[in-house]
Amino acid sequence: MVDRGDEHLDSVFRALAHPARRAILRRIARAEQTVSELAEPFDMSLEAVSKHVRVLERARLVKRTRSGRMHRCRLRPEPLKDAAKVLAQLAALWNTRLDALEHLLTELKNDE
Amino acid sequence: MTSDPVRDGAGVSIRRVLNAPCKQVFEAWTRPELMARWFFAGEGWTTKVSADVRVGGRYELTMRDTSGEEHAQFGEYREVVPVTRLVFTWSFAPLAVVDSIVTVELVDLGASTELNLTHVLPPDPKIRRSHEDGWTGCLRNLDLFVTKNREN
Repeated sequence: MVDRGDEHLDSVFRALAHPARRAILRRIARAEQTVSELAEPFDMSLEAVSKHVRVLERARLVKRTRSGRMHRCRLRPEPLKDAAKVLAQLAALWNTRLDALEHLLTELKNDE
Repeated sequence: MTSDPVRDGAGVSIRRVLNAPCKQVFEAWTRPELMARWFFAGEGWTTKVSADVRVGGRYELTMRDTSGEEHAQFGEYREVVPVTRLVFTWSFAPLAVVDSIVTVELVDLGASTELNLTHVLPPDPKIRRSHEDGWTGCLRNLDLFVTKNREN
């Protein structure tokens, strides 16, 4: 994790921020897809999809293999675990704070 | 708790029903003296809060823990709709997160209130490694922070 570092996580979160890229990840999680197969259900040009795939590649979330003129995209799930860990920590922080908020609201109620 | 970044994107969503009327919950989020009692609350900790609750106004929470270490959270209000909606930026030193966005929505259920909170990391996060320890250190700090909070 130290080697891959924060810049990698930055790129993972940046990649995850766009709904189209999350949709791409969901689809290739089920099965490998070519870029044109990925473009089909979206109202997007091949070029636009290709651009999203490149962002995902840079974040190491997608591995693209080439055979002839076909590019096949495969999910690389490892970075998702690091991202999930950060988000789980963030959720834990908020849950702890909201517990404290509930506690305060009970105190205020008892004071009335 | 599980987090699914592919489903939720770069953020978390939390829903709670609080046993207090909407107005009171909104006050707990916006009145500095009340914010100090839960936002950074921990036994033996001192919290300083300033909050200028209007669009463009800033808030700052500084907490000194029992070891004397200070933790700061600060940001700017983007939307303020009494008593139902607050949107503010969230920068937090222990996580080295800058300008993430927190949205709080309150639904009036009479005697109780539904609270929906989303916290989204910025599309172009300025999350940066502190020179020596990076994310691992950030996560360790946060772990410690959450654990300390739980102990109280």
